[in-house]
Amino acid sequence: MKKIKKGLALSLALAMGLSLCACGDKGGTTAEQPKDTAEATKADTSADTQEATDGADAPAAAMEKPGTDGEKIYVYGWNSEFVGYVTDEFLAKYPEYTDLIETVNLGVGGGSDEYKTAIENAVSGNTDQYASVFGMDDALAPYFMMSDYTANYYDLGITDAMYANCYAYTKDYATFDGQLKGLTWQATPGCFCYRRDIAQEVLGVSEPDQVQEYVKDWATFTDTASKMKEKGYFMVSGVDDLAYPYRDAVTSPWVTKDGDTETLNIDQAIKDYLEMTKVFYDNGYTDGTTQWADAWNANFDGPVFGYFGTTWFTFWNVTSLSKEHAAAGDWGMVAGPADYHWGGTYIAVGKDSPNPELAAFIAYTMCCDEDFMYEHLKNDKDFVNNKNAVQRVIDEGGLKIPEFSDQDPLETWAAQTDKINLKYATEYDSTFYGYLADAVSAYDKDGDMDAALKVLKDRISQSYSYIVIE
Amino acid sequence: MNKKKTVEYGRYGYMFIAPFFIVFLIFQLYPLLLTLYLSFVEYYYKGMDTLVKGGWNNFGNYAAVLVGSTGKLFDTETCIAIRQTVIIWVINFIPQILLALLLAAWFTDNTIKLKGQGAFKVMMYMPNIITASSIAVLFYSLFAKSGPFSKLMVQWGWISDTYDTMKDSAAWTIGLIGFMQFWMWYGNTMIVLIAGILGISPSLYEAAMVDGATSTQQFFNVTLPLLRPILQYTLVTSAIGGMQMYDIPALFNVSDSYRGQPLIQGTSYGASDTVTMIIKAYGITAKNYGKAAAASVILFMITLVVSGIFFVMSRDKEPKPKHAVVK
Repeated sequence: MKKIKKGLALSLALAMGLSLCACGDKGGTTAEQPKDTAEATKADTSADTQEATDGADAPAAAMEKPGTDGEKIYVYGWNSEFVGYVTDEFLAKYPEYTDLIETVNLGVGGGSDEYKTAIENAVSGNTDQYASVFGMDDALAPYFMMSDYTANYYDLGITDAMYANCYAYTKDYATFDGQLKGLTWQATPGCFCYRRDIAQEVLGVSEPDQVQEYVKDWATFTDTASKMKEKGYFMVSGVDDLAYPYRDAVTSPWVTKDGDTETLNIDQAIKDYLEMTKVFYDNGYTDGTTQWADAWNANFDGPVFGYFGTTWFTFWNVTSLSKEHAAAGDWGMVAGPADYHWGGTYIAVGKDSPNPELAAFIAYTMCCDEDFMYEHLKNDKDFVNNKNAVQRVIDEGGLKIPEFSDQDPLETWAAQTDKINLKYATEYDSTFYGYLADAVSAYDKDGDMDAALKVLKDRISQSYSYIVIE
Repeated sequence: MNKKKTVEYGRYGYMFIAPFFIVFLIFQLYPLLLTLYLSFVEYYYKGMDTLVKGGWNNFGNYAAVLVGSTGKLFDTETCIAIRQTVIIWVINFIPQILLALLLAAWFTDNTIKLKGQGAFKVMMYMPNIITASSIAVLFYSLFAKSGPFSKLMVQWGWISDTYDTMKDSAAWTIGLIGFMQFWMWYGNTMIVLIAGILGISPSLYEAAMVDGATSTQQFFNVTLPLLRPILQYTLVTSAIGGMQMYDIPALFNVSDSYRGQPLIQGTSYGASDTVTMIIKAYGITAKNYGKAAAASVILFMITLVVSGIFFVMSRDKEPKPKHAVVK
């Protein structure tokens, strides 16, 4: 009996871990859009966004409240985060809509095939619970947003003025051919979370401003890694920890489109990433873990200097996985060597919603309503996609995270968010970055770049036969 | 008039068997034929809603499944996955059938008369009741880099650093998957074999004992030859199930993006990729239904051929009496 119980507990724990990893993995791994065709339009919209955001201090235009006599709608999410945001916060503010909104929590990975399939069915009329509003994982968002199943927010009464306080990249990312297909309430700027005690021991400094000097670019980062190694520490837990920071450094999309022809394109940043993992692998700067695996989790209290993280990572991973060192306030956060984003949830409205006014109003409230988002940031410490709301919290003294020696991460994040560039995302990114992991292990073992790239190309050609590979 | 009076009971018979045929037609025959059709046409999605639907494409899907990017035959993901599936199945089946035979022989041996047989049988069958996913996840935690196995080895000084059985070695990965399959299924096979042995007439054993045959002699000269049809059944069903192996290898993978070291030299495909996982990747993840269908048809043909070979191999050499005389 005891054994069974133990086994049960173990498998439950693992299932939890895995589901977490499923969500984080997708979140991180994927950020995409085919964008070549949309590139011109993208550039236009970013100009617009820029203008709009310049006047960020002005209160944004408000949306009219829809009546309470409309049709009932269904709101789909893959976990309790998005669905809970609707039920606990939106409906708390507007209880009059309680009878008009039913939430469906599918309980699967946000980037999983299961979620994809369920939403496809729910928006193509194969079920009587039409998905009027649904959450989209950052990684999979372009997949949904590029299709005709999702409505254009501009047609639903959302204006640029209403979304004016958002961070530019979130709007660029969700704009296709001048149509705004997704809104998000979270911005997810990256950061580097490090252990102050290790910094003090190896580098002689521990405050973020000083530590940033040791990780300000990739060359310095590598030097610091060798210092860490001399003292018996690992710079990061595994080579795949370096993946996200490199992703947003690309200067061309994975696939270039010319009419109907799609051609594979491997960006220099991808090769740089391969080279970097090789350096870390050969020199033993990492502990050789796989992201989200148990060993990786355990290293939050282990001999690892730091983790590349982001907003949610700070609260969901660092402060919860690190026990001993979090309790001692040993963590610190700096901008790190790269500007990037990781994860986030976008909200889409289904094109055939029976009550589009209410659907749009939910998205508006959650992603544009400054007061609402201010409360959300204050209460849930979720870094919101609204510059005014963030500024208000900073003006009031910001957030204090005890695990990070009461450091306030908001200014680091706010500054970082403005630099994120997702112009080159494609709808293939999530899948292709997954394939890249195979190329990384091939390259680290054999050191043959051409062979590693062939691994990548083979995997792509096997699944996507219509993509031209040169 | 006369006709009306006759009660056609046969009609009711058809009504009773109709549900089976309706379900069969909708959920088995139709998908089967559709798969066959899809395997010959170009049919895939680009993105969420752009369906590319071409006509007959001259075995193009089959070529894509069988011919690699360099033009080499069988140098593709699917073919490598098929080889790996077969290897994993063999690793699991050989110990499984041997252990099951041994246990079945012990349990049915009249001279030993084991006590508490029921309890043993239940315990040995138990792994089969637990869902495969739980077993995969359990083994994954046991053998992960920070798992108890690796930690113990280090503590005892057998290895110097913790070891990731999934990431560092293809042999460990498929060995463990094979072991899980073996552990899950030997109980089931044992039950089937016990049933088979109990079906052998006791008078044959009595006669053998009277002639002074030892237990070993009885096993090899009475039990084994007469158990042949049951062994053949076990072999064929296990081969079919083995070719379709999915749950354990899929869950034992550390993550979607990392699929383990290559098992077959010169390739870069994860050691634990089985055919059904590849079919899922084509059909559900990449939504290339044509290619997924072609791979499925190839899997079907292989299963058919493998079962056929086993069937012929284990058939009685001498012609059986066709029909027993029935009075």
